[in-house]
Amino acid sequence: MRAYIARRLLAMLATLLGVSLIVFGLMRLIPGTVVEQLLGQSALVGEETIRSLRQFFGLDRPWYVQYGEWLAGIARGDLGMSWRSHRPVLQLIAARLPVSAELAVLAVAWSLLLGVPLGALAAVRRGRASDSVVRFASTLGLSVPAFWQGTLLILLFSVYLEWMPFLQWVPLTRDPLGNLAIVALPALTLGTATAAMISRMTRSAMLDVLGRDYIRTARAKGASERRVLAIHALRNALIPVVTVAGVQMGYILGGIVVVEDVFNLPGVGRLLLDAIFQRDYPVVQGTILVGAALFMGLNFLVDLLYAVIDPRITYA
Amino acid sequence: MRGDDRFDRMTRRRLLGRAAAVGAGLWVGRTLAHPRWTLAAPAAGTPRRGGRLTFGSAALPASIEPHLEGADIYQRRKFLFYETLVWIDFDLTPKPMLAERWEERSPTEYVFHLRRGVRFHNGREMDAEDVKFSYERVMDPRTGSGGRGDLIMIKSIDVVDRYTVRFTLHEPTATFLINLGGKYNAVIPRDVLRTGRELQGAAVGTGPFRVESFEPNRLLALRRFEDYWDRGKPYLDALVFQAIPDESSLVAGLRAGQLDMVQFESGVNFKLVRHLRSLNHLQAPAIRWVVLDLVGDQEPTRHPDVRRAIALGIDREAVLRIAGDGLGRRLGVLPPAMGFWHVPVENLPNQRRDVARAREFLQRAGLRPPVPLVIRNIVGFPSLLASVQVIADNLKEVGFDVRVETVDIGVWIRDWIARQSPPTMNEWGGFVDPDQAFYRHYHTPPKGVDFRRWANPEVDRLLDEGRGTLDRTRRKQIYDRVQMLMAEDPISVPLYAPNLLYSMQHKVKGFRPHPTGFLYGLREVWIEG
Repeated sequence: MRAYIARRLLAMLATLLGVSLIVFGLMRLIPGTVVEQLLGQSALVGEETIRSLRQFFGLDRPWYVQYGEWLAGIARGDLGMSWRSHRPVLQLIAARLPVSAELAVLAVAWSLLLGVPLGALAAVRRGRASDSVVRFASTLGLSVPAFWQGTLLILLFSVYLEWMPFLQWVPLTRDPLGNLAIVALPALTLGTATAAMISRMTRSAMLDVLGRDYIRTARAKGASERRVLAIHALRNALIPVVTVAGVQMGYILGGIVVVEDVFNLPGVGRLLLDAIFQRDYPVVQGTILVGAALFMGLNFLVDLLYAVIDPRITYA
Repeated sequence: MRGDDRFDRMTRRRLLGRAAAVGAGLWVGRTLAHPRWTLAAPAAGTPRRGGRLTFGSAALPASIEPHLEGADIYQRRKFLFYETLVWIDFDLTPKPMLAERWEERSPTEYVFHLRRGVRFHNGREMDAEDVKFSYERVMDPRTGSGGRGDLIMIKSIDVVDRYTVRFTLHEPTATFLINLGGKYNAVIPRDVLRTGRELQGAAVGTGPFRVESFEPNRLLALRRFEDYWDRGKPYLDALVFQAIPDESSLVAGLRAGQLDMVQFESGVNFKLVRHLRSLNHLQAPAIRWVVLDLVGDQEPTRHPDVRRAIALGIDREAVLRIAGDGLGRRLGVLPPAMGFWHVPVENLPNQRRDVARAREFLQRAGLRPPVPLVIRNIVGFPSLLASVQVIADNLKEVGFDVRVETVDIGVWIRDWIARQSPPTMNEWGGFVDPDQAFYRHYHTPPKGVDFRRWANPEVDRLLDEGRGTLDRTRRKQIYDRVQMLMAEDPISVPLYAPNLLYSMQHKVKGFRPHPTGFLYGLREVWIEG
């Protein structure tokens, strides 16, 4: 087990190094830098001013020097300073992370609470009307883009029903009800596609398990149908579902950018989007790196969960 | 704009009535320096101290650095917490601010007498050394301020005594005072900067409000500055700006009472709320304009006749109706909000759509349809996108084959500054004097930038003359001629000036829109009841 964990951690480190190089390169491939953004289009500036601004942001040095300095900073636990707001990137991310984390957790919770029972129901009632309804709904859930769904929800609740959550973010610790009022619609939007995917996965896994010998044996031994479904079938069917949920976490992290923008939430997604528009390289690089580390960490945890769900799985 | 303008609520019926009263003259470009529908928020009653106002708008800056941020949409709130020697009043003339008065000892020597007892938000008294330091910082190329060009006429700044400062100019410059109040300037304490980056997230100004907290791109919370030099001002205790990029959320926030006041960037959402009697609505002409900029060094627009064909081929009324939701004024050259300097559309050539003449011009240029024409557009500007679609459709009829090339703002700015942009959609604003609008943009390098590579020697000569002439009447004649030349050989095709659009709760009193869109008017606002 220890050897496995060490191997995984090393692989994660190598992957993060690759991610850091890709994001560093990609940002510099996007035309336009922070200098042009800062000057605006009508500025009358000479080469001297542009040169001094490039120097100011360190853009005049070779890319490998800039990259090396950034990596050295990371090794010291320092993701650098934002070029536009002159605040530590780590501090900016830390301030926004609770919002995104809450959104992601609620979205996953919502998708599991909805997806697993619906998938199980569709499997048990295979071929009936309820199965068709669940399958149609899951196809719809997978097809509707989050930004469109979010806009429709805003229109319905805010404009037509005139129900408006607070425009200003309220932390969960200060006002739980107010916080949930703000985060409910975004979490619903963010979790819909994942709920659809999980329900489809649960349905097919359950159908597979329900045909197995041990289910027939359990029924023959007189176990109640509820016990057969909940203990024998669902638990075994959950292994592939957990895998999917782990992978879906990546999509949720990506979806956060869109959903936070649509719902005006002060999370990491909005931070990233603003930083990209403003060519604030340190913020973009730091945010993506932290996001990648979180995603890999979550997948690692999911892998370790297998052993909890199925005692036959070991990492010896 | 008159300060005693009575406010009317813009119900549909009233709007129609008002439109009938103002008449179709609005749409044929009749000049009204102060149109009747320029309104101020109700100001009846005595202003009262106290209260908090929450203001929603599409964007907030990533930084509040006073000398570096360039975009108007970010700068609008700056003069609530920073101040300059002079400010540009609602009638677009320079008025005393941190300078109590000034003497013009010669056309190249100005002596400013500072107010005494003006305090920075950190408690220290402002003096002449701070003024010298602040303006010199903007002028220093190492600072990287986009406002350096506005102060290029300054030869030296000398401290005469603690409350007196002398500016010596290289040559007489008509816009010197106006430029001192420009958007890149602000008087800051000379001892507040160590690395040069301290003011990106915090502010130390002399304005009526101090910055209480600032979250980049999201929230700017201001608090009344108790030691403000203009005793009794401001009236509000607190002023909170919130960025809400999705304008439908602005509408919802207003209706739910969570926002006290909103500025709309698009007419669509303003139209959604302006019939509501539960709110007050205000629209005012703005010094902003949507324009198609052509270029003088690329095919096919290097031919003046092709440029004329394009100007004559565009239906500017249709562009205003479709892209600007009809909430604005179609343009000749300068927008009507520039009042004194504006030449009415009917006095300028090549203003009415005339497809037959446009085709003749194309033929005269020796080009046979379909003539390929690339027009650049910028991502994230809905009004520009709608405009370019109308233009492409209009120009097809003339014989152009328009291809729209959409780029990110970063790419756009890079190519624009480097003078490599093809013909492009554009949006300008914030100028209060024709010199600001024309010199940098159209004068050939090294004095100007001539972004569009027009290289027009007559315009160069006029712009130099206009800059050096101090007599206002003579300047008016010069800039009228410049506008005439621009209409005769349209290197830019100004389309329309979108109005400033505000909605607010009834309790918000005393707001006046400034033609530049800068929120000076919030200094005078109070909350009723």
